[in-house]
Order: sequence, then C-alpha cells, then structure tokens
Amino acid sequence: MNGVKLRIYLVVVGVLVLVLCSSSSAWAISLHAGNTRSRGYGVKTDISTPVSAPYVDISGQSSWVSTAGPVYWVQTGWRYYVGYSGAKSYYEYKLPTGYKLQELSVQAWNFTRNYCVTQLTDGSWQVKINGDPKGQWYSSLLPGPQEPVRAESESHLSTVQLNTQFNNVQYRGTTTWFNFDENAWEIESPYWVSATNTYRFHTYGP
Amino acid sequence: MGECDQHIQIPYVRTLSRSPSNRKNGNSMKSMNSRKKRIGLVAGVLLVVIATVVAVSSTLAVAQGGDFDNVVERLQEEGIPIEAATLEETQASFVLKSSSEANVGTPDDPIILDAVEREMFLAKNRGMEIDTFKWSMINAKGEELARAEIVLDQVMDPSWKESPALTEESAENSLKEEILTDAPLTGVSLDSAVVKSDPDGTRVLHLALSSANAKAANESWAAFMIQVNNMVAKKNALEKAQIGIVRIDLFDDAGNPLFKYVYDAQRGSHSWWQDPAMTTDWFESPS
Repeated sequence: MNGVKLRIYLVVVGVLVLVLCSSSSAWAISLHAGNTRSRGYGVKTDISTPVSAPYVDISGQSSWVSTAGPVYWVQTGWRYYVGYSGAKSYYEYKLPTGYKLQELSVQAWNFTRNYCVTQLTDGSWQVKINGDPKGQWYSSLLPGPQEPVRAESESHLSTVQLNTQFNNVQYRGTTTWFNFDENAWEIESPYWVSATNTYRFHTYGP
Repeated sequence: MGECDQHIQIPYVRTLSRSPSNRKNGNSMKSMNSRKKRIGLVAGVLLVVIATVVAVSSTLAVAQGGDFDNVVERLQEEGIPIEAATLEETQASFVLKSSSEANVGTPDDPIILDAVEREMFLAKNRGMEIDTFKWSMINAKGEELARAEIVLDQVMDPSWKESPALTEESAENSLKEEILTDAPLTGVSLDSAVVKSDPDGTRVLHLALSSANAKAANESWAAFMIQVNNMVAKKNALEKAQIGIVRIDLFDDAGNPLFKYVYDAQRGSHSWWQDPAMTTDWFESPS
C-alpha cells in the first residue's frame, strides 16, 4: 500500500514538474488556420477585422497573406497584440539580411482591407495594401513562383480568440489572378476554419 | 516657360510707345503712358516673383542636398558601411556593405539597415522631400545579398516631441524592476537595462541578456519579447517615459550572439537578426 502511495506521489510530482517546466514556453506558440495554394506569382485577399477587439490574453494574433518560404519570405496583413489600441496593418519579411516587421496604420474593427504580395517582372516581391505599394524586396534566395502562397490567421497562445473573415482569396498565375482552388487547409487546434469554399473562409477559435 | 512668356509681353509695350500716331494725340499719349506704366509695373512684379520662386527653389534644393549629405556623413561617423549614397529627385538610394563573406548577412546587418531607414524617416519629417528609400546590401565580395525599395509615407506622431515625464534614471529603474518581476525569464538572465538618449535626443532602452544557449533561451523568449514590448508601450502611454527605441541583445555563455533587435516605436519598426535555433513564436511566420 505504501509502495502504491509512493508511486502515485512520484507521478503527481513528476506531472507538476513537467507542467511547471513547460508553462513558460507553452504560453508562446504559433498556431495557424487558413489555406494554401501550391504555387503562385502572388497572393491577395480581403481580410476583415472582428466586429470588436478579440481577446488576446497576454499574447497576440495576426491574419495575413504570405509567400511560404520556408527560409525567406514576404508577408502582409493585420496584427493585434496585448496592449494595442487596435489592429494594425503591417508588412514583414525575412531576407538574407535579417528580419523586418513594419507596423502601419490602424485597421478599425469590423473593417476590411485588401492585402497583396505579388512578384514583379524583375523578381522582386511587392507588398500592396488596398492597392497602394508599400515596398518591394529582392534576393536571389527569395522563393520563385513555384513556391506555395498562403492566407492564414496566426495565434501565439491557445486562449487567443480568432474570428477573421477572408474573402476573395486569390493567387496569381503568370499574369491573371485566380481564386484559391485547392483544399490545402492548415488547421491547428484549438482553431478551426468555416469555409464557404477554398477562397472564402472564416477562422475561429478556441 | 510658355506661361511666363504670355504674361510679360515686353516687346509689345515697346512697339506701342514708339508709334507715330500716338504722339499726335495728347490724351491718347497720356493714356498710353499710363497703360505703359501699368504694364511695366505688372511685368516688373512678375519678374520679381519669378526670380524669388527660382531663388527659393534653388535654396531648397541646395538645403535638401546639404541635409542629405549631412545625414550620410553622420551615418558614416557612426560606422554605417555606406558604399554609395545618392539623392535623385525624391528617391534616396544607398549601397551598404555587409562584413559577411557568404550569401547570408551578419547579425549587424538588420541593425545597419534600420539605422539608415530611420535617418531617412527623420529627414523626411524634418521636411526633406523623400518619397522612396532604396537600399542594396552587398557582402564583402561585392555580391548582392538583397535589395529593396520602400515607400516612405509615415509621419512621426507630434507627441514624440513632447518632454518626458520620467527622468532617464526613473524610467530605467522602474522598467528594470518590472522586467525582473513580471517578464518571463526562464533560461535567460537580464545582465543590464540602461536608458540613455541618442545624439538626436531620442530616448533608448538597451537590454542586454545572456543564456546558456538558444534552447535554454527558447523556454521563455517568445513570451518575453511580447511582454517587453507591451511593458514599454505601457510605460510610454501611462507614464510618458518617451522611450523611442528599444535595443535587445542576447548572447550565449560563450559570447556568441543569439539575438540582436531594434524596435523603433516612433515608426513602428522592428528589425532583428536571430540565431536559426531561436524561436519564431513571437512574430508572424508562414511556417
């Protein structure tokens, strides 16, 4: 009986130690919900903000379009983190010269902006927000058009509330824009996607 | 030019004053003289206006070029490796040299790029007419690592020009205490937290941290980054600390850089380098 109690005690202590050790890293993670197109010269979509400020606990969230990388990439969307007065448009990249995240103007709640990453004829990847160019970046190591493009929401804590509408999610062929046409869903628990079709969906959770 | 020619019409005035038929009629002569004076006066005023506009434009162009040259000189004095810098109309272009010998930059490169972009932002907010900022970064062999063309359309919030309500010392002490008390620092040690002002008067918070290695730092790093930025934002919003720039350096026990970061709160810009083994869970990432 004493041996059983001791084993239970050790198991409980072990679980507690594991929980304590993992707690600090567990409240900063990356969870995604959205769709991917296997290749494209660009990606664009209308991304709405929720009707009111979503719960972000001590963390944050974003909804974006991006080249997939995996090493170097260019991205744009909106982000909202703890302490922010509102969601902010941004662009971000990783190049051989390092990372850069540029926050821009506030995107009001229940408001939609069109976000676009597209490749120019010189090979640069350009970011446009509501049609306005914000910048363009080139590196021979940035992905070519054969790489996937993504439209997703991202959370950094499982208690962060996602509630984002993506409409008219499109990829660019050589010249023409087409609706996303593949079911390449990225859905990481506790989040889910309510999809009208492959190019119109809503990210939710938890 | 066509517009200026239409308004002045000096040859026509001279032709009228020499006409024999006009000399025969006194009243007509007076009228003509009066008209001649008026036209002459208008022409004179127009010439003065044109000369003034040309002079002011030239002065502004010289001032703009002078300011740009001063910016380049100051950056070079700070050790920014500028290979070339030009200002053509409203486009500023820089070629910067990384000390890297490979096709990937060094930990200093994003910090260098940020320093130059910040100067362009400040120059534009001083009144220099710059719409685009182009940069190209080459490695030590002269090979291009990356290039960019950025639209400079941001305006500095006037509140940044207001005096801080906290002294540097009180901002430093309170932030240090808050970080040590409230920020997650598992696997990481805060070695120093210093608040000082840059030569341009911007208040800078510099945090130096160390960790055994990337794996140990990752225990808390993502949460730490989100929390620190929130703490600084709160300190600025609630106590008017006016911290415009946050620099964060993390080294491992052997002195190797794991993370080099600069956040420019005045323009919402984060630039950083991180060891490939460091977590990406505090920012947006496609994979």
